[in-house]
Amino acid sequence: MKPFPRRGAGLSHDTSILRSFALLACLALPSVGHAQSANAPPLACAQLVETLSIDGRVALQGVTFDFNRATLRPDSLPALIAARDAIVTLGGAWGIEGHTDNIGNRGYNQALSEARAGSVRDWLVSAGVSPEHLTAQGFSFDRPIADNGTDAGRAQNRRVELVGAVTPDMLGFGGPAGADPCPDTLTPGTQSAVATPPPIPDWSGASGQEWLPFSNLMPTGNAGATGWPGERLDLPPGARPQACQALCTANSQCAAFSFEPAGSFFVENARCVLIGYGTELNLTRDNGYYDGGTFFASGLKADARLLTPQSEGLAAQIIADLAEIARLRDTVRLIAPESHAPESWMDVALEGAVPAEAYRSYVEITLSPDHDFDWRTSRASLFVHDMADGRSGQIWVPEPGAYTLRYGIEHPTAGQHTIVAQPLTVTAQAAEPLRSGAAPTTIPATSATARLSFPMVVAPGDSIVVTYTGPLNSGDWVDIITMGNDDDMSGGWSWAYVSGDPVALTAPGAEGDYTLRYVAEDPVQGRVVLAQDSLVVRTPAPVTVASAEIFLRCDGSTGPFCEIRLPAQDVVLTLAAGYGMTEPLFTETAGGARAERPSFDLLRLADGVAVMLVNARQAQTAYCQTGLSGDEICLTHAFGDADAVLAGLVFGSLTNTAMMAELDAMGGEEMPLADDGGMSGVWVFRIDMPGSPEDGASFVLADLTEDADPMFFSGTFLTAPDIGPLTGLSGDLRGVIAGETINISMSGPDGAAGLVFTGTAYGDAAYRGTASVMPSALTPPTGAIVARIAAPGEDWDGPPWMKGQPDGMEAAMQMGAQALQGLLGDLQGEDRAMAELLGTIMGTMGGAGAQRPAPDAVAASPAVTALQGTIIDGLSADEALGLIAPHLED
Amino acid sequence: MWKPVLFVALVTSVPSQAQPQTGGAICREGQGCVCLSLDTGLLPVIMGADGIGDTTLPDTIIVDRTNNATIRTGRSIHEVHRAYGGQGECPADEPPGPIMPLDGTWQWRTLSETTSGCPPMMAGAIAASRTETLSTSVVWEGGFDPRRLAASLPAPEMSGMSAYEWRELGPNRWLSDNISGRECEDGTCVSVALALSMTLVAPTRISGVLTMRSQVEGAQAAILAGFGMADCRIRMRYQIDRIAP
Repeated sequence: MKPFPRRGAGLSHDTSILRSFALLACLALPSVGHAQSANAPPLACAQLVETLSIDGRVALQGVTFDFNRATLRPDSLPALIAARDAIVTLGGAWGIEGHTDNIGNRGYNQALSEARAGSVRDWLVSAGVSPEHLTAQGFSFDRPIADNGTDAGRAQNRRVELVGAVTPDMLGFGGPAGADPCPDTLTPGTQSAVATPPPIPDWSGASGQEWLPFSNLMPTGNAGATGWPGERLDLPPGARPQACQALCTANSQCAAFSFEPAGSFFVENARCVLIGYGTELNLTRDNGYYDGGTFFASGLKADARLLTPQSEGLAAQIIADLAEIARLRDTVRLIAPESHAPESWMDVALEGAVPAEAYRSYVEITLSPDHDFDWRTSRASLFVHDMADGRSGQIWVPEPGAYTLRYGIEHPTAGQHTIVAQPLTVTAQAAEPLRSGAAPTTIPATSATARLSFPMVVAPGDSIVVTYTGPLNSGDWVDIITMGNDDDMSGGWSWAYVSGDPVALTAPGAEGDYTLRYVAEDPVQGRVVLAQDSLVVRTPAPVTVASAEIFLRCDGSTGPFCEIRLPAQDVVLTLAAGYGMTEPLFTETAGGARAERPSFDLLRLADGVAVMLVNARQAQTAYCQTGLSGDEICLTHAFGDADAVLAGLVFGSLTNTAMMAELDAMGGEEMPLADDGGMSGVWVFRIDMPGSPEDGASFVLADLTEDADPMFFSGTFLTAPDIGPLTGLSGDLRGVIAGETINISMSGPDGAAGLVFTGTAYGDAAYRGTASVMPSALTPPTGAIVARIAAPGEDWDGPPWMKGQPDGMEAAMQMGAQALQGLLGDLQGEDRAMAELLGTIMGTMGGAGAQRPAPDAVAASPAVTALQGTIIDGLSADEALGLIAPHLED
Repeated sequence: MWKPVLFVALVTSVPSQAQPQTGGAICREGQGCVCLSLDTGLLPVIMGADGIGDTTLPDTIIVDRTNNATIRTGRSIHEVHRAYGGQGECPADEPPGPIMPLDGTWQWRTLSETTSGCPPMMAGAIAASRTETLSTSVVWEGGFDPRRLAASLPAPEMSGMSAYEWRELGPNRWLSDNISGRECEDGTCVSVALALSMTLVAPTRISGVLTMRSQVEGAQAAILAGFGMADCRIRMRYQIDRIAP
């Protein structure tokens, strides 16, 4: 690999070009010379270089000081930055000369001129110029360039000059006639001796508390300044943190600085906060890069540390992190060609990369500059942990263009940084890759598939829980993009990496049609969208229902509850008297995507006001809760006392598994029949652990429906109350069959825990494998056999918990109570009291008012009886042990 | 309300004082017990719902590991030991000697909590707290002392609350049970009492329990009492781990 071209490397050093360039500069710049006052506009880097090349010295126009002092004023920054850039451009050794007018005696002016030269030198050193290459001298009023008898002349004589010889062999100087040898911005990292690999701009990595990149200092207010309090300065957008540090360095009253880059806090200008001595400060981190690659930075002078205790630790961590990154930049080598043919595989290798198990790092082809980690400009990536040997692999090369190939890290505390970068030119004429290796000549189509499940209609800004199946490659993600904007790989409106667990995305703030999709980093094909579905974002509106729309009514103000069973819509629920419901409908988006669950409203018959919306067609800003079988239930603003009863009933009854089974067992009405299919029907999971007392015991009941695509199926499940790796849970189930292999994912109502079964075909309509608790890895997998015990509509039998009586029902009611408990937090006054009463009726309101009964086992314990002991309510042995003798805890 | 109370002030302290002792017995049925001395200052924390304001001292607190329950009894530790199948007198456990905590960043984590008689809002606030983390940097300067941990915690947010006063119960063990406060508004008053224990169990881990009782008096008390929410008791088990240098 070749390093970045050095700045100016490869350009001619011919002196004739130098002269031509100087001539052009002189023609273009009539004011170049020695007759500049300190108030004249600062010379740009190129102008400084030209003047130096002709005269060997140049006055730093625009560098100003406080009256009779050597403190640099903020308006000096542009001139200082230009000088710094010129010096960095040219390399070599330079002198800083201070000069004064003839007001005052020689001695005073000698000291002042030396101090001012020193201030400029100090600033330049702080801004990245090597101190070995700078000298500072003062010459009092001995070298005037104008008449000290006039104000204008004295102003010209008060100056700081940059002095040195410009020679053709200076690194970085030269180049085509008319070319600007100065870059727009230069930073310490880009000066002279460019190492291999090229340094990443902006910070050296060598820091102490005087220089803390990616941090911010704020006064705590606990201790005030003892003298000069400090000041807050606006700096031009291109300003670098080193400039702020230098301002502090040059000000003897300044104890600390904190630089806020342009673009941070939504401000156009950068800001430099200078802080006086005695102020207690709190340090925080900000790992971001802002406009032009600038970043937050702060620092304290060695004699001025007054950090809060936590800040001391944070500073140490920052220093350690940046040293680690600096070490990586010194050691990591990215080995890849500088040009490559498009749309083909390219070999890349890394030396010294971060071990895959430490944290994420990757090789990326991007259009972004080093400091930018915008996925919209990312074209391909290869994570280190996807490299078989941890140090080499192949990356897909995009369409022709000029790219950057880089190795970046996602440091757990220091954030994202580029470690090594090099240009990559992609052209059809590019030479063959350095390592053609096993690069495929054609791209095999990926065999991976993915599936998504989420609420189809949501309100702006709503949190959306997305469940999914997919290959779960490293780097796979789900996101929400504007519909039709399929090329958007930026993460869109909201995104999250996938790991198998449900993820939460945030709906866009504006109404509209969007696409929610699964994007895979396929190891074969590269980045590919494996699944996508419509997402409709709508602002909720008050809902009232005309009587003509009432589908079912439960008349009366008092009286028995009404059991509603709608097999065709897969709905079973209990309505209180005085309420009705609209017809359950499966909504479809304009794109033709059909909701998995029916939507309907529950309403008060008296006034037609919808009090509850189930799987709302229009999402509500009211309180929403996931019901027992995954239905989204929203309570509207009309929620009142009596409605609480309805809510409790619905939370407790709306389901389509256990309740269905119960109805069937009761010999009641006809069971809702699912379409027959290979997976449709009632399935039971049994423990498969020969030798175990629980071997053969049923622990999961599942009611499955095969999708139109026979690869997929879904349904609901219920786990046994006392057997199996995860007891007393019910919720949604999703599965996929690939050949002989089956994968089933089951999650509870909150999506926080679930079971995953993986197995292979085991005779007819059965699979054998293991069930694991997710996401915890603490519970060992349980051997299990999954078998269908009844096709749709067939009779079946099982233990009581499968039939919802009594344990299954108890569990269901408990879950209903939990849902209600969550609801209580949003209720007020009498509503809450009513709901509490309902909880009491349900007998399951643990916590709110109910006293925990003494455990029967303990009450019956002969030891306790003999000792006439009294159980301390609510204090388990584990808790007590932690309190009394934590050293004896297991 | 609990959150301000929690932080009310891990701020000041008083010197440790000697306390009368009760026995503690960690027992398993059929295997007897391991016994230890128990500072009665811990009783308000142990007894929680029953203990605050209770002046009757049990002879022994039994930690029944077989039935996962905690029991108070007027019997001696030796009687308890024998009732659980032990022989002779109960062997006394020697608590570990002083442990030296490591300087660094320590983080609070709630392990579990139990509540009774609490308004739903209170229960919700506690549940929410389980996901909160609170970190602080600590320099111990020679030994475990909760005051060092407390020094950089947020300042009290409630007026009229007393500040934490810590006393050392033994090696690595501290207790603060002085916190109490009362706030009144529109004729209804809420009183709060709180106790907090901290035990250094390893150089990088502190284990503790917080016990709080909140009672409502006045106009709304009867209404709340009707729903069993006038006398809220909370016990929260927590851990503070050193997570970084």
